[in-house]
Amino acid sequence: MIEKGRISSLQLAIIMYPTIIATAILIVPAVTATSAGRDMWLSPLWGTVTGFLSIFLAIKLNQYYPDKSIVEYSSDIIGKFFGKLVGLGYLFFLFHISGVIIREYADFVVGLFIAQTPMPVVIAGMIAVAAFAVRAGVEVIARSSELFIPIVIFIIFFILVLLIPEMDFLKIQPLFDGGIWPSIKGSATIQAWYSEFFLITFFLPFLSDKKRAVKWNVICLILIAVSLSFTNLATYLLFGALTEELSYPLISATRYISVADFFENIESVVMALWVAGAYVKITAFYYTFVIGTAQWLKLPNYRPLVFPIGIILVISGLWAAQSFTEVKDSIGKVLPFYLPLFGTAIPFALLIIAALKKKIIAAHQSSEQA
Amino acid sequence: MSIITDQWKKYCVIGGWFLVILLSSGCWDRVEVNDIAFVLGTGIDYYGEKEIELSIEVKLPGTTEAGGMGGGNGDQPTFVQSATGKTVAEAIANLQMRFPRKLFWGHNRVIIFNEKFVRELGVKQELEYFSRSPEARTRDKVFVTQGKAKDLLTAVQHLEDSTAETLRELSGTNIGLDVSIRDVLLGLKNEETEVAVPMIAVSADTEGTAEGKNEIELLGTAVFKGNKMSDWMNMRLTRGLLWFKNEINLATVTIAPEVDDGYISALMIDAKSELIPEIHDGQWKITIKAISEDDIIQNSTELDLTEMDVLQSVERQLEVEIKNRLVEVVDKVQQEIKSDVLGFNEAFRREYPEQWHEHKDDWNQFFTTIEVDYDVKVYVRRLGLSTGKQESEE
Repeated sequence: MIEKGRISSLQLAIIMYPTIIATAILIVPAVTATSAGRDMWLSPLWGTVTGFLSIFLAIKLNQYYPDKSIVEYSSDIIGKFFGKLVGLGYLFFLFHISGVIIREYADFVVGLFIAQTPMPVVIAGMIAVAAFAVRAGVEVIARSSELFIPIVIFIIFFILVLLIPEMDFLKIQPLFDGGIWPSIKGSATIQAWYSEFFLITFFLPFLSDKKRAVKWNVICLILIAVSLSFTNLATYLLFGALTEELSYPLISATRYISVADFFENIESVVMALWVAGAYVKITAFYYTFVIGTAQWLKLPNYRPLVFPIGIILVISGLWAAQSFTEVKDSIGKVLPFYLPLFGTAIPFALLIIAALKKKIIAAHQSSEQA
Repeated sequence: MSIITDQWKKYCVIGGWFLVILLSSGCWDRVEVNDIAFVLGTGIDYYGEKEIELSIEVKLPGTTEAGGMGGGNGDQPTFVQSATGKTVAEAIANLQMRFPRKLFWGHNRVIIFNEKFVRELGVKQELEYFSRSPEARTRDKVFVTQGKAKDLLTAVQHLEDSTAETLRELSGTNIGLDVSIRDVLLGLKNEETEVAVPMIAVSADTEGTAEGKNEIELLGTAVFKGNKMSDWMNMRLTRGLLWFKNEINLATVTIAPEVDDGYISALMIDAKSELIPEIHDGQWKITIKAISEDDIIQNSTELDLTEMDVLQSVERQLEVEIKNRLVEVVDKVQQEIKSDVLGFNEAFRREYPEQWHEHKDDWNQFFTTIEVDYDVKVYVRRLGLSTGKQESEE
């Protein structure tokens, strides 16, 4: 196999948590507030349906082809030509989505904290760090996220606790003012993030304990849903109807913190959280893109690809969007369909074909035996 | 022979690491403290129909708190500058021309509006700048002043270093309202309680002040109708309004018991209030439930408060006193101001969303017809260190 390293299911879950949440936690509250309003805290919970489906599909397909990722087994399922085409589609998808993620990261950091730094420098800095991790292999990615993620979770929790005195708990009443539909509509964008869970298809072949993969991924998904739900709730209790106007509600909320008149101005902490989370997220996508390309080209080793692809990703990040408006626009209008297409729809079709194929072969064999 | 030997590879990797460390640590944007000027307070004044006058109070470098305390009148640790512009952003750009350091808004704490400005132009278009800017905070307190905001910023107080700090402390005392940019912007949204902002002025009472120093005093509350200020309430009504906002704290209530000509004063140690909406057969009614726990802090009557029935009758009279205050506020708001600053809007929206939707568009008219019920409870818990009474003088 192309990757020698092995990780545990728990480590995979630790990689996936920031991979979903890093961008979601900052942008999702505003996007969901637009359509879900007061019921926005429910939206992350409805969205999990897509997440469960993505996990189920990735694991089921992996059971058919335990040592392969979607780039490889698509050829086994629907023939060499179409399989390669699907594989190429996934590579393009990973390339493009990585660009969008890098752009979101850079927009946030440059827009809020380091306005004078040129964006290529910010992006190249992050890609360079990620490149070293990707080159070192899956084990290093897992361990570095093991290092960061407990801190990230702690900071999220810490911020939410500090905001409690500022919250007006009556703000979420009445529940379901416009019926249940607005909150479901709000989940449309969030489920796009959850469908990123299909990324585990690239990691599953490297698991040392596949039996626990379902358990840990589901726990991870639930944790993500709970985290997002709490963030949505906290921002709404703090900003109410203003939430939808804020670019990064969690940042505005953190800026609101002031404990005993001296513990304030702690938004740099959120920035640290975001950079650590974004690092894991970008590394995960970068890694899967590199691994996928190597598998698609049937290379014996993926390492020579790492730096060239890194350079391509820097450019992809610069090209992904013209402005913040374009990023937000695509998050609201394109990504809810685009991500689930690759995260659930195509895997779903592949799984049905694979299952039918297996049945036909089994029937064939039994009829031959008879 | 390959040019790239292992030795070279090693150098490249080490060089790469250093490059990464340099690029990803964010030092490109370093800002030294001695390159920025800290804005502490902002004042916005009326300057014709189309322009605003923006004043800022800036911290003088080198005057730390210790230095400020030691100094006499001569070394005020802040100074005020102002400039005009079509918008806040433009005025700031114009101000910046006079500063060799970059103005930094991260420590701004208060925004003061001139009364004429908010009556004619409103607040939203200017506050918008502060919720958008990555430097400013939506936590900044908002005030309205009768005179010029600039005069208020230039006033020097005895106890604090700056007007901004004085105002921030003042809003924390719960004597008047405590309103941040977030509260104002939220109140400007439909479906929310109308905006009410504390009103302040430089105190006219200069007797006993040090030369060149003026205290700032709370005058009451500026009441908004939508984006613009429409009316105001004096301090007495403001104290009543605090009950509706559930922000009452450490208030003193004084009554004159019928039986005697002295007074009894009680200090509210803990006070809570709640609005309970009800709709019965199309009749809209709202109950304000106000509960407080009090300590008696002064008794100039002959009543012996250590007796249970006397104490209970005092409790009832305290309740009447509080209720009268609440009635006064409701009458003023429903009959004169006609802008729902009391929060009836939100209370009904929570409990009766369907009926509320029918009236939300003409709420400021409709809410004046809502019947208000008062449920005031006072519990006197302690009598202080001495429980005596005045001896009769016969």
